[in-house]
Amino acid sequence: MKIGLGYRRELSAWIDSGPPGVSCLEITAEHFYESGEAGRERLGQLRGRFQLYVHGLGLSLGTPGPLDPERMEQFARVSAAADPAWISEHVAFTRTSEGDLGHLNPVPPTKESLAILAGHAREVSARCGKPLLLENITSHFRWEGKLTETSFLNELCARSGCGLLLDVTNLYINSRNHHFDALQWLHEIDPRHIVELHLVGYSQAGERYFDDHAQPVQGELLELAREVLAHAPVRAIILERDEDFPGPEAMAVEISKLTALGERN
Amino acid sequence: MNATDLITATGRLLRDGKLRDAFAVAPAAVAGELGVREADQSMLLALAPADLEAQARVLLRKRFGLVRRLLPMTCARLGDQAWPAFFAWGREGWPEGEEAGYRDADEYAQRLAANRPEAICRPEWNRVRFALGSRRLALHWLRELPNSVHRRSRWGCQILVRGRVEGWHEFVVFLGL
Repeated sequence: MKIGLGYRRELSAWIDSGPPGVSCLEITAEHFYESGEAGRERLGQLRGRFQLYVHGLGLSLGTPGPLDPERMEQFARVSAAADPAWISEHVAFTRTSEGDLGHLNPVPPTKESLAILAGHAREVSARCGKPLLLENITSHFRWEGKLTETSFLNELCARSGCGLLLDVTNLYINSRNHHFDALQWLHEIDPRHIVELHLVGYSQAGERYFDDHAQPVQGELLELAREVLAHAPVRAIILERDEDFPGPEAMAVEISKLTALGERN
Repeated sequence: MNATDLITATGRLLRDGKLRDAFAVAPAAVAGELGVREADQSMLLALAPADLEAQARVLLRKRFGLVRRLLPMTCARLGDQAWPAFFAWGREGWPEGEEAGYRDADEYAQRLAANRPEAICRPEWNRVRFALGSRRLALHWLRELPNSVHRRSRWGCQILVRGRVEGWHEFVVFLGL
């Protein structure tokens, strides 16, 4: 199993030092959209030292209508430069026909959404020539539909031929904010779909939980991740820290938590 | 008239605070106003207004994150008041286009100029306005140019230059030693 982290500019010096336990990096495609030749060179350097994956934030697979051709082209360019083992995006919409929302929002669990997402997912995978994984998101509102979230995700993976990038932190946060059993949710997911995990600490304000990607991974998340690893043949775990980056020693501790997960499995 | 799909309707609610306020009071009326397809109305009406507002705040926080990146010293001076100052007007409108972050930052600074002018870091605001405009050159004489060597603000000239091919550049000339 590969253990690694999301590549962020703030961590690049530490990553270049070759931190023990880090064998893969997840590249955020949007961070390289405007980086030109220098970005392609950087991806080439990283590709020589780590297994890479390319992760998208803004293709908005859940939006009805065609994918944004410019964003699709930019994403494909980053994918070509990184030559990743796989690419990933979210089960979400970040824009509508009327404008950009700047962040991930949940799609209604309907047959229509399934068709839109599956079609877009197949298109992205074909355009990049890479397997695509789809990630569960957090949301503060929850759709009540005929399909449950788990049956929706299983059906989506089956229809699109995509795997699942299970964000353990997102699952935990949603289970707390929407009062459901995370383990039951997990066991409703077909384990064959789960390929990669995301982990990062959550934060809490009042009764709400947030994925601000700025905290150390908490024990209850590691516990849930262990359940996922017992349930599914996971191939990679990524630490997804985006804010309040700690120093090298604290980052090494975070990576060691993931390494321990991998070793126990 | 074509009916509105759920994604478009939800997007409108998430971008417009006044519409969310109306939805919290009279959801069926707002669903009708949005022109949501009849088959989808029950799903929209099942959304809890408080949850929708919480999600909208997450989107607003992301917008504010861009403003903070463009106006870091201004936001640092405002401290805990930086976010409420953004939220107060940010929830009522939504900037469009590739330069949306710059437009948000400009509007934020304009509003501060009326209420908390002492908080504005002028070099930051100059940068934002230059990025939004099309001028080739801008010169600003300022007494608060941050100087990382002396670790204090200095008198100097901020020079902003737009290249013919790519982006713009900033130069600073400090006065005296």
